[in-house]
Amino acid sequence: MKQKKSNLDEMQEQKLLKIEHNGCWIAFWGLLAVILAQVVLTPDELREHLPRIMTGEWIVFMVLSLYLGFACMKNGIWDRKLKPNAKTNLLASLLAGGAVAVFQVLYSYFRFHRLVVALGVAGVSALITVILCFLTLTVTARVTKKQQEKLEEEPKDSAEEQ
Amino acid sequence: MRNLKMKFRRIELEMSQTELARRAGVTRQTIGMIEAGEFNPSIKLCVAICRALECTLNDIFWEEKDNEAEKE
Repeated sequence: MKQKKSNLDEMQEQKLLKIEHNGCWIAFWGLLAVILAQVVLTPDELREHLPRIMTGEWIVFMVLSLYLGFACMKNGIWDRKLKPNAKTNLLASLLAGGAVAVFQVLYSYFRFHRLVVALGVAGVSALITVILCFLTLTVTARVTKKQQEKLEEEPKDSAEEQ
Repeated sequence: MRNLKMKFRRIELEMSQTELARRAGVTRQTIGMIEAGEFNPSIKLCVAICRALECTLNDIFWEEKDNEAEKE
Protein backbone atom coordinates (compact mmCIF):
# COMPACT_ATOMS: atom_id res chain seq x y z
CA MET A 1 0.00 0.00 0.00
CA LYS A 2 1.40 3.39 -0.98
CA GLN A 3 2.10 5.62 2.01
CA LYS A 4 0.22 8.91 2.07
CA LYS A 5 2.51 11.91 1.57
CA SER A 6 3.16 13.88 4.75
CA ASN A 7 1.92 17.47 4.93
CA LEU A 8 4.94 18.37 7.08
CA ASP A 9 8.44 19.28 6.01
CA GLU A 10 11.51 18.02 7.93
CA MET A 11 11.58 20.92 10.39
CA GLN A 12 7.84 20.61 11.12
CA GLU A 13 8.27 16.84 11.54
CA GLN A 14 10.96 17.45 14.18
CA LYS A 15 8.81 20.06 15.91
CA LEU A 16 5.90 17.59 16.00
CA LEU A 17 8.17 14.91 17.51
CA LYS A 18 9.27 17.42 20.16
CA ILE A 19 5.63 18.33 20.92
CA GLU A 20 4.71 14.62 21.19
CA HIS A 21 7.78 14.03 23.40
CA ASN A 22 6.71 16.85 25.77
CA GLY A 23 3.13 15.57 25.75
CA CYS A 24 4.31 12.08 26.71
CA TRP A 25 6.25 13.36 29.74
CA ILE A 26 3.41 15.69 30.79
CA ALA A 27 1.11 12.63 30.73
CA PHE A 28 3.65 10.54 32.70
CA TRP A 29 4.27 13.05 35.52
CA GLY A 30 0.64 14.21 35.47
CA LEU A 31 -0.63 10.67 36.00
CA LEU A 32 1.87 10.12 38.82
CA ALA A 33 0.75 13.39 40.45
CA VAL A 34 -2.93 12.38 40.10
CA ILE A 35 -2.26 8.94 41.67
CA LEU A 36 -0.41 10.53 44.61
CA ALA A 37 -3.11 13.19 45.02
CA GLN A 38 -5.76 10.46 45.15
CA VAL A 39 -3.80 8.61 47.84
CA VAL A 40 -3.44 11.79 49.91
CA LEU A 41 -6.81 13.44 49.36
CA THR A 42 -9.23 10.51 49.45
CA PRO A 43 -11.35 10.88 52.62
CA ASP A 44 -11.18 8.11 55.24
CA GLU A 45 -14.71 6.82 54.57
CA LEU A 46 -13.79 6.17 50.91
CA ARG A 47 -10.30 4.80 51.62
CA GLU A 48 -11.35 1.15 51.25
CA HIS A 49 -12.45 1.97 47.66
CA LEU A 50 -9.12 3.65 46.82
CA PRO A 51 -7.78 0.82 44.58
CA ARG A 52 -10.99 0.98 42.52
CA ILE A 53 -10.95 4.80 42.40
CA MET A 54 -7.45 4.94 40.91
CA THR A 55 -7.59 1.85 38.66
CA GLY A 56 -7.84 3.83 35.40
CA GLU A 57 -4.95 6.16 36.12
CA TRP A 58 -2.84 3.27 37.41
CA ILE A 59 -3.43 1.14 34.29
CA VAL A 60 -2.58 4.02 31.91
CA PHE A 61 0.51 4.91 33.99
CA MET A 62 1.74 1.29 33.99
CA VAL A 63 1.09 0.82 30.24
CA LEU A 64 2.97 4.06 29.52
CA SER A 65 5.88 3.10 31.79
CA LEU A 66 6.13 -0.45 30.43
CA TYR A 67 5.96 0.77 26.82
CA LEU A 68 8.75 3.31 27.43
CA GLY A 69 10.88 0.74 29.27
CA PHE A 70 10.49 -2.14 26.80
CA ALA A 71 10.82 0.06 23.70
CA CYS A 72 14.11 1.48 25.02
CA MET A 73 15.44 -1.97 25.97
CA LYS A 74 14.50 -3.40 22.56
CA ASN A 75 16.49 -0.66 20.86
CA GLY A 76 19.43 -0.94 23.25
CA ILE A 77 18.84 2.56 24.61
CA TRP A 78 19.50 3.30 28.31
CA ASP A 79 19.87 7.04 28.91
CA ARG A 80 21.33 10.12 27.25
CA LYS A 81 23.88 10.76 30.00
CA LEU A 82 23.93 7.83 32.43
CA LYS A 83 25.64 4.48 31.84
CA PRO A 84 23.94 1.23 32.86
CA ASN A 85 26.29 0.25 35.67
CA ALA A 86 25.94 -0.71 39.36
CA LYS A 87 27.00 2.71 40.66
CA THR A 88 24.39 4.75 38.75
CA ASN A 89 21.75 2.07 39.38
CA LEU A 90 22.39 2.30 43.12
CA LEU A 91 22.33 6.09 43.01
CA ALA A 92 19.01 6.12 41.12
CA SER A 93 17.55 3.55 43.55
CA LEU A 94 18.64 5.66 46.54
CA LEU A 95 17.05 8.74 44.98
CA ALA A 96 13.79 6.82 44.45
CA GLY A 97 13.98 5.50 48.02
CA GLY A 98 14.58 9.05 49.29
CA ALA A 99 11.56 10.40 47.38
CA VAL A 100 9.35 7.62 48.78
CA ALA A 101 10.68 8.26 52.30
CA VAL A 102 9.88 11.99 52.14
CA PHE A 103 6.39 11.29 50.78
CA GLN A 104 5.70 8.61 53.41
CA VAL A 105 6.96 10.71 56.35
CA LEU A 106 4.73 13.65 55.37
CA TYR A 107 1.74 11.47 54.50
CA SER A 108 1.92 9.25 57.63
CA TYR A 109 2.64 12.17 59.96
CA PHE A 110 -0.30 14.27 58.74
CA ARG A 111 -2.56 11.21 58.81
CA PHE A 112 -1.62 9.63 62.16
CA HIS A 113 0.15 12.57 63.91
CA ARG A 114 2.84 10.26 65.30
CA LEU A 115 6.37 11.00 64.17
CA VAL A 116 7.89 7.65 65.27
CA VAL A 117 5.25 5.70 63.30
CA ALA A 118 5.75 8.00 60.32
CA LEU A 119 9.54 7.51 60.39
CA GLY A 120 9.16 3.73 60.77
CA VAL A 121 6.74 3.44 57.85
CA ALA A 122 8.90 5.73 55.73
CA GLY A 123 12.07 3.75 56.55
CA VAL A 124 10.53 0.40 55.60
CA SER A 125 8.93 1.82 52.42
CA ALA A 126 12.21 3.44 51.38
CA LEU A 127 14.18 0.24 51.98
CA ILE A 128 11.73 -1.85 49.93
CA THR A 129 11.79 0.80 47.15
CA VAL A 130 15.61 0.86 47.06
CA ILE A 131 15.82 -2.96 46.87
CA LEU A 132 13.11 -3.31 44.20
CA CYS A 133 14.46 -0.41 42.13
CA PHE A 134 18.02 -1.72 42.27
CA LEU A 135 16.93 -5.25 41.26
CA THR A 136 14.78 -3.92 38.39
CA LEU A 137 17.55 -1.58 37.17
CA THR A 138 20.15 -4.37 37.39
CA VAL A 139 18.03 -6.77 35.33
CA THR A 140 16.98 -4.15 32.75
CA ALA A 141 20.56 -2.84 32.46
CA ARG A 142 21.78 -6.36 31.73
CA VAL A 143 19.07 -6.91 29.09
CA THR A 144 19.82 -3.51 27.51
CA LYS A 145 23.57 -4.23 27.39
CA LYS A 146 22.92 -7.62 25.72
CA GLN A 147 20.63 -5.95 23.20
CA GLN A 148 23.28 -3.25 22.52
CA GLU A 149 25.87 -5.97 21.85
CA LYS A 150 23.45 -7.78 19.53
CA LEU A 151 22.63 -4.60 17.60
CA GLU A 152 26.30 -3.65 17.31
CA GLU A 153 27.29 -7.03 15.80
CA GLU A 154 28.59 -6.61 12.26
CA PRO A 155 26.02 -8.03 9.81
CA LYS A 156 27.25 -11.07 7.88
CA ASP A 157 26.96 -9.57 4.39
CA SER A 158 28.93 -6.49 5.44
CA ALA A 159 31.85 -8.60 6.76
CA GLU A 160 31.87 -10.95 3.76
CA GLU A 161 32.10 -8.13 1.26
CA GLN A 162 35.49 -7.03 2.57
CA MET B 1 16.39 4.71 -0.90
CA ARG B 2 19.52 2.63 -0.24
CA ASN B 3 22.81 4.46 -0.11
CA LEU B 4 24.95 2.15 -2.22
CA LYS B 5 27.56 4.82 -2.91
CA MET B 6 28.35 4.98 0.79
CA LYS B 7 28.47 1.20 1.10
CA PHE B 8 30.76 0.80 -1.95
CA ARG B 9 33.10 3.56 -0.73
CA ARG B 10 33.32 1.89 2.68
CA ILE B 11 34.09 -1.49 1.10
CA GLU B 12 36.61 0.18 -1.23
CA LEU B 13 38.46 1.41 1.87
CA GLU B 14 38.17 -2.10 3.42
CA MET B 15 36.32 -0.61 6.34
CA SER B 16 33.70 -2.40 8.40
CA GLN B 17 30.47 -0.71 9.48
CA THR B 18 31.79 -0.83 13.06
CA GLU B 19 34.99 0.97 12.08
CA LEU B 20 33.15 3.63 10.08
CA ALA B 21 30.74 4.11 13.00
CA ARG B 22 33.67 4.56 15.39
CA ARG B 23 35.31 7.15 13.12
CA ALA B 24 32.03 9.05 12.60
CA GLY B 25 31.19 8.90 16.32
CA VAL B 26 27.91 6.96 16.00
CA THR B 27 26.69 3.39 16.58
CA ARG B 28 27.01 0.64 13.97
CA GLN B 29 23.23 0.43 13.77
CA THR B 30 23.10 4.03 12.51
CA ILE B 31 25.56 3.29 9.70
CA GLY B 32 23.61 0.13 8.81
CA MET B 33 20.36 2.07 8.66
CA ILE B 34 21.83 4.87 6.51
CA GLU B 35 23.20 2.31 4.04
CA ALA B 36 19.84 0.53 3.99
CA GLY B 37 18.05 3.85 3.39
CA GLU B 38 16.05 3.55 6.59
CA PHE B 39 17.48 6.65 8.25
CA ASN B 40 18.14 10.13 6.88
CA PRO B 41 21.25 11.54 8.58
CA SER B 42 21.64 15.21 9.49
CA ILE B 43 24.08 17.30 7.47
CA LYS B 44 26.44 17.20 10.49
CA LEU B 45 26.51 13.40 10.43
CA CYS B 46 26.84 13.35 6.63
CA VAL B 47 29.96 15.52 6.96
CA ALA B 48 31.39 13.23 9.68
CA ILE B 49 30.79 10.17 7.48
CA CYS B 50 32.36 11.86 4.46
CA ARG B 51 35.42 12.82 6.53
CA ALA B 52 35.72 9.20 7.71
CA LEU B 53 35.37 7.93 4.12
CA GLU B 54 37.80 10.56 2.80
CA CYS B 55 35.38 11.92 0.22
CA THR B 56 32.97 14.80 -0.34
CA LEU B 57 29.25 15.10 0.31
CA ASN B 58 28.68 15.03 -3.47
CA ASP B 59 30.46 11.69 -3.80
CA ILE B 60 28.23 9.94 -1.29
CA PHE B 61 24.98 11.80 -0.87
CA TRP B 62 24.28 13.56 -4.18
CA GLU B 63 21.64 11.98 -6.39
CA GLU B 64 20.94 13.03 -9.99
CA LYS B 65 17.31 14.10 -10.34
CA ASP B 66 16.44 11.33 -12.85
CA ASN B 67 18.02 8.68 -10.61
CA GLU B 68 16.19 10.02 -7.59
CA ALA B 69 12.80 9.91 -9.34
CA GLU B 70 13.45 6.36 -10.59
CA LYS B 71 14.33 5.06 -7.14
CA GLU B 72 11.31 6.75 -5.55
